[in-house]
Amino acid sequence: MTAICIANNKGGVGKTTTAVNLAAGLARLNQRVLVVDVDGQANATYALTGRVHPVPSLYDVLVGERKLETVVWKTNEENVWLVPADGRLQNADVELASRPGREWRLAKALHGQDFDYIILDTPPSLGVLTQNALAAAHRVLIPIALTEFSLIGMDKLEATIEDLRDQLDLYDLEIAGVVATFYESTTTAGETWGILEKKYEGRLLETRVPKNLDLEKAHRENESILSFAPQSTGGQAYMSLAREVKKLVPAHPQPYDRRRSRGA
Amino acid sequence: MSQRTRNRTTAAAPAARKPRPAAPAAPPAIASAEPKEPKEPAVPPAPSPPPPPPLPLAPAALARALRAVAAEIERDPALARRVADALAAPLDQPEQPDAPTPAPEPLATGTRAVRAFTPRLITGASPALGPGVPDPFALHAKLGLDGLRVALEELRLGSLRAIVREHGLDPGGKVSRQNDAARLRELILAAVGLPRSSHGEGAGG
Repeated sequence: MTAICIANNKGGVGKTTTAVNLAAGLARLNQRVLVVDVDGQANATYALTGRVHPVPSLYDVLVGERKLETVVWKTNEENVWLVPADGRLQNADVELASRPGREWRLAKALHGQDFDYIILDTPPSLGVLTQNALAAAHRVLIPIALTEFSLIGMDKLEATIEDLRDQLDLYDLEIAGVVATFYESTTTAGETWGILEKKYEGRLLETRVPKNLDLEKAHRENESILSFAPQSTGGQAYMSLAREVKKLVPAHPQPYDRRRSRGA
Repeated sequence: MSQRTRNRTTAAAPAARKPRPAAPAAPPAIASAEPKEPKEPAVPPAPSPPPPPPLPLAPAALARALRAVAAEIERDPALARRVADALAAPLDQPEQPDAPTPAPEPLATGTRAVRAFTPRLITGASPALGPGVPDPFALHAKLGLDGLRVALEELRLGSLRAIVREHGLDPGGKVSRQNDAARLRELILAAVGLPRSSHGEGAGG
């Protein structure tokens, strides 16, 4: 079991699209995947099940005492399961703020889960929920839109990862890679790509996810691009990304244990 | 810019906020022979008929302004109607705000129909479906024929495809590979033993 957190504190960069379609791609590579929707907007939940803000959800696990196994759903994608989110999660940052060990609640809840991959979809912020997702993850995948504003604020995410690594003793939490999204053949996209190549030398994934209307349509139809339009440019890109991620971050054969690699 | 807007803008400009000398309250009276104390309030005169208020505009300027309004009324039918309505209204009727300007008629572009953008409000599938992939057999037992049809109508391609996959309703995958929600619904309805609806060409695939 390997947990990958899809994170970027900027909104609209393709986090949920990447989480849903990467999960579907890994599932097509015969991997059993659990998607955890850590975002109170619950977009991944809608994209994979057609449900809007179902209850109970991850909120009841993080803020309440519900066992995570009781909120694991089958999704519309074969071999992809989901821990759904609902709107109450948007208040969880405040509700968890004063609780001791608040950053570890998700990691503890996931303990013992037996999938090949866990994909954690995060909100566009660096609050307690994102910290929970980072603490529960073995690797971080950062989607970056190839747009003018995409590079502003990136240092903040890296600083947060560094801080958490120190504070929570997550010495093995690494950035698996940076994946470019909303790619198109424009001067801006090309220049942004060039900057990313320099900044993330060796960590910028080869796959570039293009701007593709079918990706939006697939969300609307509550399924992945690989079910809705596998031959589209978006579909081919996400299948390619799944292969790249599987090679880069192999699934660990043991059930989930965030503390495994800390030698605890 | 309309005259009203221009006036409002001018009034808000800093230059317009400079104090101006107060306008005389009445035309200058005939100088009195007796000197007045400048800071003492004037002694009220003996009761007499008040003088007529001064005209804010000279008669010639007023006539010129009205001719300009009349010309504008002749040029602008909407203004003419508003003025006529205002004149016809009883004096004690409270003033009504101007009616909003109607949106312009959409331009016909050849034979193509003009389509309005109507965003879809996403409410999600019914909670009655329960968690995960819906079970059409359980829904049929719980909701009946009409309930199942309504439930299926609410579902989109992904959920319909998942139902078909989970219950093995399309072994060849012929229907499942198409992005055709209507045929998937027919396939599911046929599988739970319901008559097919009159529309569509069946679920066999």
